[in-house]
Amino acid sequence: MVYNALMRALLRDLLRQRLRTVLTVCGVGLGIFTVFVFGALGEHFRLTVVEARDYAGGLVRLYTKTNAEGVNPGVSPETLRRIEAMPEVRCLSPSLVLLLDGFDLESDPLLWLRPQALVEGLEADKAEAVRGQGLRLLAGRWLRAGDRRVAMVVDWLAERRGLRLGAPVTIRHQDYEVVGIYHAPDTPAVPAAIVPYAQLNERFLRPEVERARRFFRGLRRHPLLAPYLPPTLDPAALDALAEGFAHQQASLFRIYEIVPRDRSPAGTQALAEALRAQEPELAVIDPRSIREAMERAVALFLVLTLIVTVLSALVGGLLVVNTMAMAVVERRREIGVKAALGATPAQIAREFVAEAALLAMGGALLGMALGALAVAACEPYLLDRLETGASLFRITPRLCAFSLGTALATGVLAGGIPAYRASRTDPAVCLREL
Amino acid sequence: MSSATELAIRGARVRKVYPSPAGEVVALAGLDLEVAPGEFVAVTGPSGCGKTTLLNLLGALDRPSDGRLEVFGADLARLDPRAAALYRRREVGFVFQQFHLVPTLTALENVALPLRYAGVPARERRRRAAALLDAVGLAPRAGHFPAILSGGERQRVAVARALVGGARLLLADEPTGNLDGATARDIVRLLRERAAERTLLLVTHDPEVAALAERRLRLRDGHLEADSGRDSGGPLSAVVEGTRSDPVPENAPGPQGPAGPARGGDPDAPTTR
Ligand SMILES: Nc1ncnc2c1ncn2[C@@H]1O[C@H](COP(=O)(O)OP(=O)(O)OP(=O)(O)O)[C@@H](O)[C@H]1O
Ligand SMILES: [Mg+2]
Repeated sequence: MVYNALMRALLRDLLRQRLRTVLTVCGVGLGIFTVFVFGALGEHFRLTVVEARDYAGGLVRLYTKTNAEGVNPGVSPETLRRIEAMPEVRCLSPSLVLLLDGFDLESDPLLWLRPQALVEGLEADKAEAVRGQGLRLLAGRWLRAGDRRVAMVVDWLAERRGLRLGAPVTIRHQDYEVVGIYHAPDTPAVPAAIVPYAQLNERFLRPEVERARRFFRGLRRHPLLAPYLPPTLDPAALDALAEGFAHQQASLFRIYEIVPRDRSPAGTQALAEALRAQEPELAVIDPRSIREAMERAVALFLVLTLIVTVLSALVGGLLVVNTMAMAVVERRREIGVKAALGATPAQIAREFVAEAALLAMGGALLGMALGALAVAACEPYLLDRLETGASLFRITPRLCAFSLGTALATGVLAGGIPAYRASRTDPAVCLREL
Repeated sequence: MSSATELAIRGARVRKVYPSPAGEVVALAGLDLEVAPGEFVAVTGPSGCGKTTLLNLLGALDRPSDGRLEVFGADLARLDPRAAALYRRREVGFVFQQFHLVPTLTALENVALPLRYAGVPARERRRRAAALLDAVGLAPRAGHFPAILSGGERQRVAVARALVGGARLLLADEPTGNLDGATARDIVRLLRERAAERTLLLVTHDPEVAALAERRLRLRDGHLEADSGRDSGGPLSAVVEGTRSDPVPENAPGPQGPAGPARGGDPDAPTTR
């Protein structure tokens, strides 16, 4: 009731100069629109970090690394056996992550310019152990031992490509059957599909082996080496050599996901430390370092959002200052009257601040509404172009509160300057003005 | 010597000097004034003689440059802006020549405005404002904005607004200046009726209106030129003292006691000579 009456009076004051009010609201709205859209993008990146923590949590990753002599020894089967035997280790699976649609420059000449949907190969019987914590199965089942040409796909890919359980899906030019659909966090590098490791690896290695085979067979015709090769050399022996070489090469790209028995952050961290001590020649990546890397990656974007926010607030603030300063000048006599009726300087200032805040809030609501519309209109289009996740902008309660808060703070601070001046005007002088 | 509480207004050598680039303007040049509670005083005088200035000082809208000015015991020279606002809220009701209603508020909201600043709850405010609007005969126009009210109606709203806070001192600066004769008399009658037990200072150029007052003060060049209509010889006499330092206007009267005809005659005419 009180607030209704006050609100009505404030609104009537704002409606006195309709055009000016509309222009100011639009100006503030534009600022908040920018804050909102940028913020939605920022929220996406921030949540990406949060979700990456869940996705990478409870796992230790192992890579080969180049040692001090400049040699990259790869991860030998003995090393893997040694690691699997560690008491802290529950299981281990190689992980091969490739482009879902292959490296097809013909259909997409600038393919490296944008994020691509990925497919991960995991040992079928260990897929659930490795990814069960980071991904949520929505329908169907996890991969299991004996699976060959079957795949699990992420929900947004299923939706976009119209995939259902039992339907065929083409992965790297090969047909698989969809057996599971899962929900994944919207984090880069989270695969859009999971297939048995052996299947993917075989497909991935075949061209490598073929290449090596051609090279080794070619040695027979090599002007320098050919004379030294015994004519009785078995072509099959050369092929085996080629295959071994290709595998050796490929192993340099391999990542191993290790599941600790204790998947708590502390347990995972402890396993990582133990691995580092035991296998100093390997690169051990723990969830903490992944999270830190993600945070560094999004930090720039968060700073950008902050800059945009500050600039928008500044522009909006200047508009509000201007409008309210004009209102104060126009209403000098009214200020005098109110003072004569017993309004204290603080009460007079408060009325103007409230009006400025209302103006800013109007702008905020407009900006947020337009921002939400713009996101709704553009997001499907952008995602279609990118095909990397379920969302690109995220409008969260936090973002809404932040946008409103920015507008409110802008309104109060910007309205405060003219309001202070209003509260200090001399009522006797104001009343003399006609 | 009467104690301060017996008087509504006690002013001694009140001066108001406005600084201006072209030199100081002396609006009040050492005015002595005593007004008893409940008195209805008409203030007259030529344009620029300091009438509005006097009301502004009494309403604490402005501060005296020099001298003492007390209203109901409050020393008006010593109030800071906030204390002045609280004093106005408690003690003073203003009525202006230009009505000065807030254009974005309805008649009812205008009347209730002083109560809003005083922190009276909304329901109570509405009740009291509605009662006063009814008393000035404008109950049916409660929801109307000032722009569609006639001059007389606006002034009645303004009178209701001046009364609503229970002020003991009403200051009306030419409240009838923009109204025709009949409406003017209506407004003054309304003020007098509704302010029966309050102190009322009314500035006017209209002899007919001044004649309705029980006491008439005549200012000239910042001095009290005449004070008529009081019970002669009472302890509450207003005295004119031309302060030594002030330039004395040619036709300024010398120091004089209260005297003159109580009623009738030309109220604007100099009383004793
Ligand atoms: N803020 C100010 N600065 C300078 N001079 C002022 C100021 N306010 C009033 N004055 C001067 O003080 C003198 C008294 O002014 P005041 O308004 O009190 O006269 P008044 O008796 O009310 O006149 P009127 O009948 O025309 O309303 C005038 O000469 C006026 O010019
Ligand atoms: Mg005047």
